[in-house]
Amino acid sequence: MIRLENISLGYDGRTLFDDASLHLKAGEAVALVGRNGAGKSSLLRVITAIEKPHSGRVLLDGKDIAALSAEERARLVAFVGTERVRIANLRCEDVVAIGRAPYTNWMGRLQSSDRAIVAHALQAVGMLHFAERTIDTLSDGECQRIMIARALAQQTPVIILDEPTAFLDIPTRHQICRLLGELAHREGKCILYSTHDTDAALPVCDRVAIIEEQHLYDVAAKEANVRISALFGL
Amino acid sequence: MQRRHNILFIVLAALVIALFVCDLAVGTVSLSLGDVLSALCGGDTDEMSRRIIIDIRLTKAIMALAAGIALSISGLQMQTLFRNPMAGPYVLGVSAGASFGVALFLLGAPLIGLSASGALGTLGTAGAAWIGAAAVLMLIIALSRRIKDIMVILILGMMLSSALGAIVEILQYLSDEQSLKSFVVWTMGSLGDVTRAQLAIILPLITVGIALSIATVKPLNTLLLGETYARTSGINLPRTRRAILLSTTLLAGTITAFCGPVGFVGLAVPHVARMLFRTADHRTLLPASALIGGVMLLFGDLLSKALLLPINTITALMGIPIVVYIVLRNRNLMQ
Repeated sequence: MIRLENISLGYDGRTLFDDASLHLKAGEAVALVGRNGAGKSSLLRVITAIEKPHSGRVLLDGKDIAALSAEERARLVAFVGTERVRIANLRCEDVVAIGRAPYTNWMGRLQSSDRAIVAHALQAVGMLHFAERTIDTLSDGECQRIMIARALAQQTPVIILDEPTAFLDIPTRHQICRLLGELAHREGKCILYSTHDTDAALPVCDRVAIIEEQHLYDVAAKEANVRISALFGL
Repeated sequence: MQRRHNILFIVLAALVIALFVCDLAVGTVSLSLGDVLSALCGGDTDEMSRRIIIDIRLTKAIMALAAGIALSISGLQMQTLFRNPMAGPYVLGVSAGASFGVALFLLGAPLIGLSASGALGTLGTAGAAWIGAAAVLMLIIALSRRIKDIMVILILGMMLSSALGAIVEILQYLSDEQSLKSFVVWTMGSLGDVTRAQLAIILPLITVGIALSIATVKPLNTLLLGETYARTSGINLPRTRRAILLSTTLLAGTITAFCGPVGFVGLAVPHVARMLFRTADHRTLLPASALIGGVMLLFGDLLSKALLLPINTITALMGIPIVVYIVLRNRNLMQ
């Protein structure tokens, strides 16, 4: 579902990674780990086409994302970032409805089918009863669930999340990681998320992508602990 | 929610109409509402009253309404685009840019031996204001692409305003009395100096600006979550930015060009709209801001006639308490 072919990326003469390739399938939840500054966020930004790689290409569902329009891409990949969204008067339902943007008309008018999809997305993250609440009244964990629901409402085969467990307390970290695993398996999504929280992520993800020393390693979740220790010299 | 919105829209529309009619009746020559209505509907009034209402006050009232609508919509767009509740045409240096353009034209041109007067002068002033406003907006947009922190952009906008203000002061210092006076009068803002012929230029420009702003409601809604979310939701960000920039230049630039800098409308009105309608949806906020802006400037025009003060002073006196109240009431306004 996500295929990275020979991706090279770097800034100011510093190489983050060179010739990285990766293949992730539908129905998989994959954690992306690595040191601070190793290039996790950059890789995710390349997959969502926010950033361009130096070389190589990204295929989503077999299509080269560089050749797609913003709207076509938005039907293939949804993104949840680290930016905290705290806007007064913005109801959770309306945040999730923004996920319908690639499908609605120029005014963003929701059809009844869109409303059903929004409700389903809220249900899937266990936040249906928060639909009418405004987002500035939510806790960080609740807010993160709403942002995940927004990505689900976008109905893309691929969902990318940048550090979805940052700022969260320990129980909520585990809940969010478990939720991402469930969504991948139940809804058949390909979910890739960066995290430092291997305790929460490893038990509930299928595979782990590790960035270390400019290389991208693809490891089965079961072997991840051993490989992480070895790679980072722990 | 929808019911509340409908009631609010009806009340606001009624207020706009009532204030518009009052604005036609009030002035140095006091006229009855009956005179106003019969003059508007082509009924039986004396020639004098008819001419005052149709030729003078109607142009001015239309200008007040147009200015209120244009500045408010522009402020709403700027606040969302910059994700900054304190953004507006005035704060980010658009008015300073317009003033700079006008200063170059009214003060700079005579310094190098050029001078424009009459119709050419008015159009030149308007054109210079526009180019100045557009140049500043373009610069701010270019900066906002590189700088992620909205506070930094706000500070840069304010510094840019001050820098342009300083250059304007140098020009003022070097200028002769007559050009200086025409510049100072322009900065005070006036809804009354607009002629019907100018209105024929202003209204189409503003209509295009409003049409563009309506066309960008969906991108504006996605921009609430920030540019990354807007882009990954399928919004063509460069095109959206250009459309919003053009719309704001047409709206705020045109009004500033012909009426001078009218402050605090663009800043305060979108907040009043959010407070009354309790929504962040631009499909509601856009018409709401337009109506509230119309109410504010028509009321401001009435006050300015009653107190004999320039419109810019009145809008500042009306707008500042609104902004202060909203900031104190809603402390998580800043993100």
